[in-house]
Amino acid sequence: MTDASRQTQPAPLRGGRWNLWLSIGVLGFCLLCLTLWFPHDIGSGFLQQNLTGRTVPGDAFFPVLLVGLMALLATLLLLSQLRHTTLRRQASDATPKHTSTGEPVGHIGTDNLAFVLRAIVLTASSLLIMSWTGPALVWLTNAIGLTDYSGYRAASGTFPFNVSGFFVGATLLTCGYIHTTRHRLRPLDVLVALVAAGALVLLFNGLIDNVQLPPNADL
Amino acid sequence: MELLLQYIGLGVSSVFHTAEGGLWLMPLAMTLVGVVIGILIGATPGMSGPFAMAIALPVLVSIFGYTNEALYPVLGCLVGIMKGATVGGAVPAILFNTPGTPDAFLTTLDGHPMAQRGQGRKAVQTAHFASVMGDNFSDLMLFIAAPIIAVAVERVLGLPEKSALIILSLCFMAAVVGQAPLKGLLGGLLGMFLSLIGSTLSGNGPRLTFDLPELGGGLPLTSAVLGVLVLSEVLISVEDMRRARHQDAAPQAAPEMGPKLTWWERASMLPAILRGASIGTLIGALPGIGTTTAATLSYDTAKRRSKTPEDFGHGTPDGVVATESANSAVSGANLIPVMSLGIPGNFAAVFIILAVETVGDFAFGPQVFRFTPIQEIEGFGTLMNKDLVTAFGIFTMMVLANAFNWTVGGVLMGLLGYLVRIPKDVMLPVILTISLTAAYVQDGGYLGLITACVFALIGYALRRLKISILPFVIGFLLAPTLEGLVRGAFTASGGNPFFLLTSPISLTMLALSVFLLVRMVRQSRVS
Repeated sequence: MTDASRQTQPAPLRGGRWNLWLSIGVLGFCLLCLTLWFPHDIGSGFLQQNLTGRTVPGDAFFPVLLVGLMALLATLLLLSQLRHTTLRRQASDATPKHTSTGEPVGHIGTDNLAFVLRAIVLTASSLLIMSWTGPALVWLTNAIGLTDYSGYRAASGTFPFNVSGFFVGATLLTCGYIHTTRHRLRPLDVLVALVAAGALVLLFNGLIDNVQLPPNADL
Repeated sequence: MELLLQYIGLGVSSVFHTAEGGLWLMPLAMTLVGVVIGILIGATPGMSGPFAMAIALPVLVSIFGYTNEALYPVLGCLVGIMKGATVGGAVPAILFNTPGTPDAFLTTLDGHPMAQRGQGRKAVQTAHFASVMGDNFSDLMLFIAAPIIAVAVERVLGLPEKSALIILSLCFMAAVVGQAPLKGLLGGLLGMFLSLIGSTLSGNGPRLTFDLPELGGGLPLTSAVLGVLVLSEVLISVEDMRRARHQDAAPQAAPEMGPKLTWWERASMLPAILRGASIGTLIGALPGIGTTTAATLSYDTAKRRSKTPEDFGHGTPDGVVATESANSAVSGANLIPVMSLGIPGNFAAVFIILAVETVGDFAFGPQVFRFTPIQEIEGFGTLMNKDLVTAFGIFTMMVLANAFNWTVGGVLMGLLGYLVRIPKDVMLPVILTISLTAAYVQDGGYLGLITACVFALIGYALRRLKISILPFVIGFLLAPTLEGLVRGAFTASGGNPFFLLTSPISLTMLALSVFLLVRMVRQSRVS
């Protein structure tokens, strides 16, 4: 194929491919639900007999209907896309400018996945630090003889141990995302993060009763 | 008529009095707080009313709790935010050509040229006047239409028809929202499917939990919606800013504000406001069609009917009136399907429904508007439809929010120009932290937080694949209702496999749904 002929070829079917992958993925999910997930994870079947002997819907009734509809829609999407792809191939031979790709669809590339991975790592590490800071502070104050707690659970109702983890973790989380957006972190940004975390501590720990900041509800 | 007035009186009174009869001004105060927050949020680029409502709901529930007494303060604040945001968005649009909310984009077309010509004050006051008038008009329509529709629905529709109505609503929403209706509908079904996790209707233990006891109570509703709506949007914006190496340009200086809007000018705007508000109300009453459509339609209509269409886009107040009256009228009208049918039509309505489902035992739907005679029975107290009293209480808070929009809103709008200086790339990470904290606090721990994160990833994928989020969220919210209706209809039919096709009304609705589906497939072929 010459360069000129390559240039006249329609754009790659990236969008169209996503429609195909989505519909095939949904069909696979439906198959998995009907053959493995539902039989093992739903206590009653599609229909059941109640105490009076009447046939009533079981817990699988509505999920099966939903999955059936999903399979139908996925099939429609698949057929529509396949038909479109075929027509497009035929048309591209005759009219190379034909570039339609079926129902509009975006795409998720490796750069998007890399960003999501970065966001997951950033969020998870901030939450881990949120969980560990309180116990670490208790251990430190115990070690230098300022306190004598048996552990973080015993100190989790006492200021500043109860909010230390949240304050540090929330500040890191905010700073991490500001750095992600700006590619740099100014002292003013850190100050904003500290003030935001402080305001949340004041609101949820100072002004509102009966709520617990992370990680105190999961001890 | 007397009964209606009695219920209205009880509804108004219930906003200002506790159950014991003492004076209680908290709902009034929270409505005011909501309006102020809404106006501030609306004027901040990158923020919107539903965004603020999503973050405010868990905070409000943490403050006021889950009891019936908490319903008015929570709803008052949310309604205030919803209404305030429609007003505030016009300020940066006019003064800095930066719409505070997506709805205000069309306001820039004429508002900003007016400001550049030294008529900034007049443009802002025009937007405020048109916006609040439009909102008031649509609220009036809501107060009239919701009870009428609800009574009609309650009389005419049975279980199969109500099931078919929800199916039709979802199909309609998928068809009109976004560019990929088939995938939008698939998203709606996925939302429905996910909401089934951890639930049971036959007493056989929670389903679809992978034997994880934490999921036995179902997925936390607010955290899930917070994740898919707010966190996913934050992720998308953060990624886009990172990729663009976005640096906020220093905002330009506020232009010369110029003269005030005269009362004569206000009076001469009324016919155009009425036209824009009527379009906004009609569009808003249909689920899924947003403010942008209403504003565009109103702007086009105003331009076509104008004697000087060439002025549009070059700074005519008629353009500001057309867009602001229409996009604000959507907010009240959007509550017509919510209050009469329990079906949310946009994101703001989603949070109103979420609040009602989270707090107290009130529920939206046609049953609310049953005009049960009020009877005093000795030993049992007063017999009446308390839901109807609550509905009129909600209407009262909407009227209060409108009054605050007229008064406080007018004052605040003149002072909002500086909010455009808040950098989005710092604000969004702060919002992310607040949202995750709110999810943890309201839903009792890491289950809420992890749910929010997982739904944020689902929302991220849907947005990147250009699949509309709205059907997913509506499906997630409506699944329990639809399942109850479908099961009831099946049982009542005696196990008839064609239980949804036995009534002409449900048959018509399902035929319309199929028609929409066929249209979606055809649309995908020609796109």
